[in-house]
Amino acid sequence: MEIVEEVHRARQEIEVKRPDSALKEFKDLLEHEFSHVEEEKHVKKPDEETGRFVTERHMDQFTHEELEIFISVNYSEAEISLQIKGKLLTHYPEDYIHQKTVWYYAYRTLYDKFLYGNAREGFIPNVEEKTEELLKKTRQRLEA
Amino acid sequence: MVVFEDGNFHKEDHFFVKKDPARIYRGLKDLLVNEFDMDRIEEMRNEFNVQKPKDKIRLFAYKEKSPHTLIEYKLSFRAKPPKSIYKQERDQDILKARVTTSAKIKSYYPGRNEFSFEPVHPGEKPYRNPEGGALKAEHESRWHKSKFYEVLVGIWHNKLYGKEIEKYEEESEETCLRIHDLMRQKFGVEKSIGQSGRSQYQPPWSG
Repeated sequence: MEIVEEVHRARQEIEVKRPDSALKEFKDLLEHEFSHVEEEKHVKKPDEETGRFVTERHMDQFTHEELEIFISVNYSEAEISLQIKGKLLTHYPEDYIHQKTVWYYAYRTLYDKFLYGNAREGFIPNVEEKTEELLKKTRQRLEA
Repeated sequence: MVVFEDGNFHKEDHFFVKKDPARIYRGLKDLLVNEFDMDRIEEMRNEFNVQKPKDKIRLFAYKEKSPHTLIEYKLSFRAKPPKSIYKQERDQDILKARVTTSAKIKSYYPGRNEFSFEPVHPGEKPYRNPEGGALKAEHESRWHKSKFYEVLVGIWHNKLYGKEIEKYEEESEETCLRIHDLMRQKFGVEKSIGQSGRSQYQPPWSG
């Protein structure tokens, strides 16, 4: 059973010194910042390069934060456009047969609504802070 | 028959090139067998166009890890002219190559169909069923169809076999990333983000 909550969005356009290696440096930055990064999509055009990355950071046994990052590098204008969507995903395991029944689903729904929901709200400032930190480090590293 | 599906990895790369987008799939099957040691490769509907580059290749590659578990790789390679909207500001002769990979770990209890070369009834899918087959319903005994069997198998698979499944998930991700890196080499693009060194899987192509 999964509960997805989108908590933060940020968008930025940055002028860069070296557009050819901007994406490579950004990937390097992500690898250092997060322990789990995946590059889901990569599009290489003659004058433009875009990529979609997903990073994961576990908060506790049920919840993890996911940042979906869209980056687009424009070589001619020496500019990158960055969009980050921060999400909190709560995953309740469904390994055993009793966890796939409708009664367990009802129990988990009530558990999430009345007990766990507050804990998840407590993670929202962390996600926002992490997003802002990532944007700041990108600017420090890549900005002209 | 109880089926477990674990792991779900998906990755796409698109390349816009001036010429020869078909280089992505040259020598592909040899690569899959020699470098990755795939046990079975099933081709879905492929399209090849002689006049202009517009090729579509879809493969399922399977790697058997145990009599009950296999890793299923779904690979799709396309070479074609891009949509006209991309051509408006660019040269008319730009072409596109696309590589898509995804991987899943599938476990079957009581076990897979040993006679996988048997023809499968077309049914609703007129082309070959790529799912690797399994013991069909009439081959299962009453014990295999019971709920108690399902419970026992669930406990076994999640509690005891879970570690192995995690290793297979890592292996499938590393293999897909390696396929993408090899394709990127053909187009002169840098490597993707590597996940190697995470923990247990030592790929045969490293070092």
